[in-house]
Amino acid sequence: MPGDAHPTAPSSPVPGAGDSTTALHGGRQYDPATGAILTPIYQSTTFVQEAVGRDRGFTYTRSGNPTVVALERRLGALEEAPPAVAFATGMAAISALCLVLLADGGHAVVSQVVYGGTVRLLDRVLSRFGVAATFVDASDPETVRGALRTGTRLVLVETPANPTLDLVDIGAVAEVARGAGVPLAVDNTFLTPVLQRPLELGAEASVYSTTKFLEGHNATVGGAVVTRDAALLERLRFVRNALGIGQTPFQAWLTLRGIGTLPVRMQAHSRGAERVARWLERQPAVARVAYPTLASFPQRELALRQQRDGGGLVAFELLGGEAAGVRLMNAVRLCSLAENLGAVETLITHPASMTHADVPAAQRRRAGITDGLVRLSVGLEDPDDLIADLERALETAS
Amino acid sequence: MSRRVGESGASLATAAVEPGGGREGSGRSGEGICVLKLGGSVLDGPEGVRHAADEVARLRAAGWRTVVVVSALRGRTDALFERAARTDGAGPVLRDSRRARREEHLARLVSTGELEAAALVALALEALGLEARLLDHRELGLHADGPVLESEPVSANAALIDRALADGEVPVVPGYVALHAAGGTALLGRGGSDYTALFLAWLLGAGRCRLVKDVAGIFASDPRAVDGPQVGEPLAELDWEAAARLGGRVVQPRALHFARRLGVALEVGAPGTDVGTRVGSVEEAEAETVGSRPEAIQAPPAVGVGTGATAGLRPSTWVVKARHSARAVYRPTSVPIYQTATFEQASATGFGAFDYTRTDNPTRSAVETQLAALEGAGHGLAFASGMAALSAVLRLVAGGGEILAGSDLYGGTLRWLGRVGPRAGVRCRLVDVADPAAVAAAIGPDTRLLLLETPSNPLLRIADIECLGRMARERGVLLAVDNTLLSPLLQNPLALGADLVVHSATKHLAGHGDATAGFVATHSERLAGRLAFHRNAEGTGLAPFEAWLLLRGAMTLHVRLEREQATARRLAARLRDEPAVRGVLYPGLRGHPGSRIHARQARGPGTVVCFRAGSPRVARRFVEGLELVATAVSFGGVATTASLPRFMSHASAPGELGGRTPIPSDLVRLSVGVEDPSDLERDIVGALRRAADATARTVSLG
Repeated sequence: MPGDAHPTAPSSPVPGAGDSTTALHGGRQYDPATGAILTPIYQSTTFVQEAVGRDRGFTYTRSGNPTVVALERRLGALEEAPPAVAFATGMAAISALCLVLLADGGHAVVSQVVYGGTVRLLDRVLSRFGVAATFVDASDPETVRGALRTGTRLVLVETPANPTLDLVDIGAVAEVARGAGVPLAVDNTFLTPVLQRPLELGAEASVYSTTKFLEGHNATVGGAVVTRDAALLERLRFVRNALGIGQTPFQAWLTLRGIGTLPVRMQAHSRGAERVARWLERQPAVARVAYPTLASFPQRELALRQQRDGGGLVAFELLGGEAAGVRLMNAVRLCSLAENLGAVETLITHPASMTHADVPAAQRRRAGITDGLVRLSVGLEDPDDLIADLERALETAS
Repeated sequence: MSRRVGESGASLATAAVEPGGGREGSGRSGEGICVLKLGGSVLDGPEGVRHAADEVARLRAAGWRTVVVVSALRGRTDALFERAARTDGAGPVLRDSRRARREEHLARLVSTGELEAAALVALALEALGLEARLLDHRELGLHADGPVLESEPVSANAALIDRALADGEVPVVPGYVALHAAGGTALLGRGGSDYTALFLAWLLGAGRCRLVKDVAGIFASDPRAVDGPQVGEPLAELDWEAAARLGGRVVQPRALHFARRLGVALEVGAPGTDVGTRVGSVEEAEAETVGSRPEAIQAPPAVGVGTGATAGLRPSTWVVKARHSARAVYRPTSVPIYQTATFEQASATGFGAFDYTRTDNPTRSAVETQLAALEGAGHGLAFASGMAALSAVLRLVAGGGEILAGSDLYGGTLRWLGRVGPRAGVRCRLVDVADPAAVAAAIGPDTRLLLLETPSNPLLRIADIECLGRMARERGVLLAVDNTLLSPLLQNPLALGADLVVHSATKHLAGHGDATAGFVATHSERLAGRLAFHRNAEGTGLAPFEAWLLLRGAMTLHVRLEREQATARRLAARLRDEPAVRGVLYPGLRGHPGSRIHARQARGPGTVVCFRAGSPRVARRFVEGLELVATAVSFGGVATTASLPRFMSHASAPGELGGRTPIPSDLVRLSVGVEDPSDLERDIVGALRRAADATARTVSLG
């Protein structure tokens, strides 16, 4: 890799290093020219070549950039994989993956509870290029197996799913997919490598919207694919370059900066989300609450097995259904009504009209995304303040 | 009557700074200002309006600089709502987007009521020979957030009101109406003029806020209640609890809630008199005198140490949440980076809130509001670096004056005191601030400022802030504390009696080793003004992008500190048990000198651990043998670093400055980051043992 052989770079990652260490130091190389601890922002479109046909590893930022490479190395290190491929957005990452694996008449089996943008991509963009997708209830591996057919070249799941938090047994589905010679990709945006390791569980690739918890400060968009499959990595880089959808230097730098505190943030997000979820469960106005570590969560055992913690997302529904949910979301003050998730501040979202508006209503209902479902991404505020805000808003809503 | 200091705003009702926005609302000294709200019940026709104008004139004659907030004339608002309902016949249930548009039009329609009343009051004032300045919500930049008909005020341009008052005019503001954050008009809910008045009172730091109604005050039971008995006299004084219970029909409940949260005292009463019901406690005046010596400030009322945050929001929430300054237009959740050198002016002679980034910039102001709140301060100023911040503070002492400083300080500070100060005619002497008697003896007739760090860098010596603060005050000396080592979440010097607190924000506050910045906080408007003057005149303000990085870094301060401190405790204990170590310095270890004082005045031992390696050779081998930990100056970042202060951060201390506490040549300073504690322990203990062994072997061979 370009920039590899620098004498003063520490060996990285330190084998067996804890996550908190890897988040800061994984793949790190001190700047060769100055020893600067942080990667400089190579805000440069091009790199002077020494002679025709001879360069130092970088020629044009669309094809590769040292700051982006630093991010890719860090992401790879977090999953003990080679450097990742970083994209401009999460959707760019998923698009590239689908294009590489499905482009000529391929078929994908996708869990039915996924981010609305993924459904839109497959149904309304890639479908025009001969790509077919079947959406299934992936919580049952047998259902996945039943949907596989000749020509299936990708199984794509999210777990916990956006927004219902339904889980998929990664290990079991990986086995089914492997049996059919089909790669399994897991969108691990909600938990990040700190709380869940898809590759360890048998997946071929992990996909991320780095916009969310990875960068974590609401500052920038981005995406990434992590895999140990060298051929897949090469094809992803090819498509990324050909379409020009790579991550930019400054966004990569911001994302790197955010990753430094990923472990302590995920810990705090999980603690806060669990407290809020437990409180919601006790409120008479709340019809149901989903959070992976709650006793009431149907897949709790699976969660404890395949995740290190519950994560920062809580999904719930009020007794008054959509009307009550909307009133609640309009009444909160500390929580921000916004589309993102995984940020330092708490965000509340109405999936049916916001993030999943592009999913056809019937499909939404099948996926359990009711009109009354409220998605809460718990930030780093003091949980007591969040609970006070929700309490007041619940009073207004009822 | 002055404001309760140290409360600089809740999550929504922050007087934020933005183009056209106002300065920090809290801590402003607007003691002579009275915000007078005229209720619709009082403005019941031309005669009522004239009497209201008389009321204003009376207050001004009594010495109050009066700001008038008006409701619509009696009955007008109801009539407008009714007219709207009859015009469009709209029922209550509308799909969201249509309802939002209808509400916007409704708000616009209803706002004409307040505008009418304000204009009539302005005319009546002119007839009395007063100069009225009508400032509607657009001119005032009075922004609000939330549901269109029931929104919460967020910000306004207090500077416009100040200017009108300074010109001798009477600002007249239509109440109830605001600019919605999403654009368009918003209302503050029925009775919202009360809210406007209280919000402006808070924004201006007004000494008085009087709500004039058609009732004499708040009664033990509501006189307008159909069944309630009417008690003869209204209650003279109410605390917030009682007011919430009894005052709901007289004062708008949300306005009362706001006032309670932010400690804005108010009066409710009838026109033509000064009596009525007072709500909220009275504070003692903050005495400040200006003379040839910078007078020490009387101790402000105690701020809840351990909150730093305000209005019931805990620090970890404030750190994440309070950035509303730039939300007004597009409502981004991240503060925009106002990467601009200059701002267009309204006219050749009229200025907006910003004109030139050297002076002020919205992104910089956003981080100042945030960090000031963390220190519980009324004023905060961001500088290009910690040294720029420190220089500005030290410049408060004019030539001929003397600065006393702690004998263990950052090398750069000592360099300023030894080389820069003397050239400006300022004498600098060092004293052991861990010894109050020594300080008392050292203060002389020319001493103007006492500067210290506690824990000090790098020997982690503890000074008793409260004790030295009292001493400094008695002797007319300002106390400045460099609080960089602990950060505002672990120690708040202002609450302990310091006049100024300084930070190298490069360290814990920005926290990621990527931004150089400095910060000063104080309760004193006068000192803040002088610091701002110097910052502008010398051009040392924090640049917009670094301000943004600082703002962003500060959001994870609490989670970073928690982890770093836990690891530091563990490492300190571990190091103490290592044979190669000749002593560990850490306020969290039993037996550390001053640890009891530290436990009293701080909320944790911090993230910096120092130890003596036995010899300079071992120390050097140790830092050079570390694999995970970087050898670097600076501390407080997410990555752990090790340094030899004698040869690195403190090498710049000049020899001329006598009385320095010597730094041992075998002293190692560790700044603990967020890495896995086991990984750090392994690296540090391993490098230490290897260094000790190698040195022992060399010695034995030699």
